[in-house]
Amino acid sequence: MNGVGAELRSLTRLAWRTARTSPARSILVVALIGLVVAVGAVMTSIASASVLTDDEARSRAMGDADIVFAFSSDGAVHYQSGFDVVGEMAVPAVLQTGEESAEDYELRAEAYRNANRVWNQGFDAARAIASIEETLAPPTSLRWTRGLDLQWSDEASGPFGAFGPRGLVLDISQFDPVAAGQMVVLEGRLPERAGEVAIDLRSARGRDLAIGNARTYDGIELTVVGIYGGPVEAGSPFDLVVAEDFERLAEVNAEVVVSYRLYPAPGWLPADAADVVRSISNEVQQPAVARTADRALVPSPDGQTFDWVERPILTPFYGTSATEARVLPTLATVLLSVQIAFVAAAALAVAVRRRSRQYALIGVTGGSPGHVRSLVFAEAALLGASGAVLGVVIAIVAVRYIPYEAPFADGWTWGVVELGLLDVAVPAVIGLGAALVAAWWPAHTVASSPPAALLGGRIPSRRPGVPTLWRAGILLALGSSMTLLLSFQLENSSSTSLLPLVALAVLTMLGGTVLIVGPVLAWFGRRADRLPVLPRLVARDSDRGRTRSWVAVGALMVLTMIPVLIGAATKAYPNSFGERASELDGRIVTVRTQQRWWGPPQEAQPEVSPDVLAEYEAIDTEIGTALAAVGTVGVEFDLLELHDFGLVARSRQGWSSSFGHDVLVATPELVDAFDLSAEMREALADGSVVDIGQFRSSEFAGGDVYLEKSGAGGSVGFAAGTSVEIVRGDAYLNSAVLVPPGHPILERETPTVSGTIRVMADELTRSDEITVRQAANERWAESFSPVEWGRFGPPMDLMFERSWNDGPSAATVRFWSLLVTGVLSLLIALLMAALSAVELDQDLSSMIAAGAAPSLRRRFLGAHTLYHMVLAAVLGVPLAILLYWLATRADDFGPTGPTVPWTVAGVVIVLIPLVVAMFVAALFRNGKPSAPRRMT
Amino acid sequence: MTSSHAHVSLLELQNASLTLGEGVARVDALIDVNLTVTSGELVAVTGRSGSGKSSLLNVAGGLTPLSSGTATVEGEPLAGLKARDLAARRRRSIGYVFQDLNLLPTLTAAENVAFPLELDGVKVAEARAAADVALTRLEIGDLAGRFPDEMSGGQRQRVAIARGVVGERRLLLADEPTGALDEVTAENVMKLIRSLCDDGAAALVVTHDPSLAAWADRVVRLRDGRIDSITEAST
Repeated sequence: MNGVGAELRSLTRLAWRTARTSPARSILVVALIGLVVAVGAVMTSIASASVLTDDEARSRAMGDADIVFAFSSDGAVHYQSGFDVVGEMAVPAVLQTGEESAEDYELRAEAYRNANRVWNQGFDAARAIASIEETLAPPTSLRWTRGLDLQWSDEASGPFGAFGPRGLVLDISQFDPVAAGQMVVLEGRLPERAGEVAIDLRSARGRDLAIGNARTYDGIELTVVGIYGGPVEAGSPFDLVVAEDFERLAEVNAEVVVSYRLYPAPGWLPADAADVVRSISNEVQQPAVARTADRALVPSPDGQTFDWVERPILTPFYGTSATEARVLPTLATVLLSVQIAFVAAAALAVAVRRRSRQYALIGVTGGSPGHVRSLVFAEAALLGASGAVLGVVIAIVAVRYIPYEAPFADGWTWGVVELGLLDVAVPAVIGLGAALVAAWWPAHTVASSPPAALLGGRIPSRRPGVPTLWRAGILLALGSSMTLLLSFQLENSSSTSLLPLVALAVLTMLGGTVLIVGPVLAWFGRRADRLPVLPRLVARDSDRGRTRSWVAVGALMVLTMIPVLIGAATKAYPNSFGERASELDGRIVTVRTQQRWWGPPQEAQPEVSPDVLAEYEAIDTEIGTALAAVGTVGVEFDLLELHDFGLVARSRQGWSSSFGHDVLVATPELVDAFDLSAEMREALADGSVVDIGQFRSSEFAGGDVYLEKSGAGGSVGFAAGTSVEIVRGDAYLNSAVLVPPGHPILERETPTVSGTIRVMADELTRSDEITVRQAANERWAESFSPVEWGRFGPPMDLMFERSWNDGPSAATVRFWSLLVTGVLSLLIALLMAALSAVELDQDLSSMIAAGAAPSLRRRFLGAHTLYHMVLAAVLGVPLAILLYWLATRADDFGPTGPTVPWTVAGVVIVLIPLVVAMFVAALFRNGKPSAPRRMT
Repeated sequence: MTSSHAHVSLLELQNASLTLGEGVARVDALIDVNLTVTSGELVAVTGRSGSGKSSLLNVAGGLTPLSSGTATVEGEPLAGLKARDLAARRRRSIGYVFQDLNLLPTLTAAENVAFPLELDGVKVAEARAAADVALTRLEIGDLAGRFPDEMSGGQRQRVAIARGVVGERRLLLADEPTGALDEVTAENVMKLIRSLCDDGAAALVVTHDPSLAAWADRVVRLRDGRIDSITEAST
């Protein structure tokens, strides 16, 4: 006795050689496991790439670092918040337009180059400062010197005490905008004395200001001595708000307060800077800003590098950390593995049955049941390991060719996909586990069979007895109870966190249903006496080869549920911020825009008279036209069209410390257009103005409108029909417009927007949207002077190299998911049929030799396949209905049921069995009878 | 034909009865069988189909538990042993030879012979050396590296016999070991088994062929699960 080494080695060698004796089945198992591992690894890698960092702490910090302060102790103040921090602010290509003179072009290009340099240098400074841990602590006060000096402390009682670290600091002291060439003086000069200001071109034109004009703003008298231009993304030294504008617009609300971008004389502002400080303080104290951040600069752990970290686009789906982001792909891998394990188990079971004599020999030569079991497991492990290696190789190759934006992902983008160790290891272990799980039943069966029985070339079949039914009943009861409890819970809380429990409940019920399959097969087998010979043979054989049939029915049963699973999943699938794609029946238009408004805090003015609205619309038209010119499609719709066809949704933009109020104006037309909740309908009645800030998401559960709050500011989403997501408080507007098919908006003709909307609604492709935007850019380029880029900034699609707000539509997800499901279903069905054919060939040959018509082979196999699939559908449908019901109970899933593509589901459940049965029949039509070797 | 070695009881069946199946399918495969096989002894078992010959071998090797009575191998009762212990007893004491399909097709002759030793934890080199000894003893040492499908039927039976006596195994249970062989080869196989018994092993051989039974020290004839007669070989 020399331990287990020799024993293990001997078994492993035997397992390896045994696996080679069944190359087809072994290759099948290896390929299946390889598929699992490859898919899992690639999915996990993509998820990780979407997070953009593997460092969970940094990823979380990303979510917390909401404001990036770019401060100068002796210069201008910049602060960036939300997703418009200076990242990815690569200066766009500076294109010379037709009407632009070479001089203007060079002037403009120089401004951009300088701006780029400023930001790069700013990064360097930030890198140094951000490496100091204290700088990540909450700011508790602001102190004005020359520029702005942020005082930081670790006191938890500070403005952000409740939120933890908030900000990152950029020290750009040395980067005076003028010194850096960021500003280009177009007319006049830079201010030199107190009371003098240079004003940017946009402000000057917007307010008819010229050099020499003097205005008093909030008690501060300013004289314009110069007009300057510069890249809008470079920010402005200061923005002050014109009082009269305030007064005029206050009647509407305060969000569209067009501020002046001013450059004061050095050393002039301190005495009057209180207003600026106050406004910034308001900003700092506004948690809404903090909550809306989606990008931040985060220092690397070693402080040597400085990364952009984005809140992952999958955040609403996956969570905020890399670990959490991996959960779903890993879960999907596990589910896929379970499915694959079914098929692999069937393949191994057939192989084991055909080798029963060999296992008998092992038994009679002294091999224990444990040895036999180990042998089967060793074979599975070898195949699984081979499959894992294959999968890893495939994944390594695949990730090299994963595009930045997959064509089928409908705009869903991710970062550079890299195959991390964890991305590979977890799926590999899962794949290996699947192989071992697949081997469990065959191993158990053969190991527990007496060698004497195996010598006869047969593995005794046990009838599923009462314990099996008991187990099935327990699992079903457990799963049903969980489902019931969850259904209540889902109505009152976020379903996202409950998804694992939902999955567990469904899997529990699925397990119980799978256990029933065996007794059902046995029951039919025993009661087939009165059936015609063909169905009787099928029923009897399915009972006799119950393991194989059990696996087949179980696997196919899972597939019958997948359409509903997909419907439920896409119901909750957030293809964009705050949107629930499936509620739009796949008609999704995502419009993004980004435009800043600078303004001081204002009180909410929810009361709006028609006259004011008309005036407001005129203002919007002006702004909207301008914005349309830079290709920001969504804001046109938001500001103009929504009002035009009946809905005005606005957020209070700017630095409002009062958080403002979103004002919603609806007409009966709108109310009728969408299936609004009774509460919402009442609130919107007769075009009244509603402060939707008073609502909470749960109050909208009964209708198609929901309000998504985030932080104290938040966003507003109208899930059905129109969604306008407005990020408040950070001076950015982010809109998403969702248009259902047939909506009147699609038929409207309005000068700046409708064409765009129609194109997008009709085509619904990202490329079309880009085309539209490019066309808008071209129009802008033709109609505006290059120097006015300083006013409006560059075309947005040049600024946004990465479209973070996109996602594949629910329809896309459904299509691809069901396509995969269908293929998988077909594959499994064919594999099962092939395995049945292999195992039953001798029997069929015997029957044909005994006088049966040669067509028996194809008729039998066709009926055999059909029997399994029909049984699977019958057992799977109740579970699918239960799942459907569960999905309708989830508040976060939306008030209506999941959008189940019933047609495709029908194809999966009905058509595929027929196709497979016909295929199998055709495949074996020409099978020749052979001499019977064993009558069974 | 008995050997000069000290006779040690290797297999002892006392009142061995075996009932298979239930209800209408119930069959008394063995009824009150008493049989002792000692070292150096070759016992042939004959009888018509269904008389219980194979059941007797299965009971003797612990493949099938007795319904009543006792089966003892090398002094150790098989009843009550766990499956793992039974397996250990088989690989250390008992060798099986069947009519055909005796060998694992994926292992070479030497590996087949060494297999029970390796399962017992013997180092591969040691097990292989023991296998070589067994193969050489049966004059097929040159076949060590061949796979079963590269050997003739007689050679495969020799390998199976070598596996049956490799190491310290001394009880050989053979079920129609010559059934698939021609007359000359069958004769050689029986001669080989006889030779092994003369060297101290014991064999319980099921056969239909009276001429082969002539190689035995005793011929046990079964009828309907009972021992009908035991014939001593003429000395």
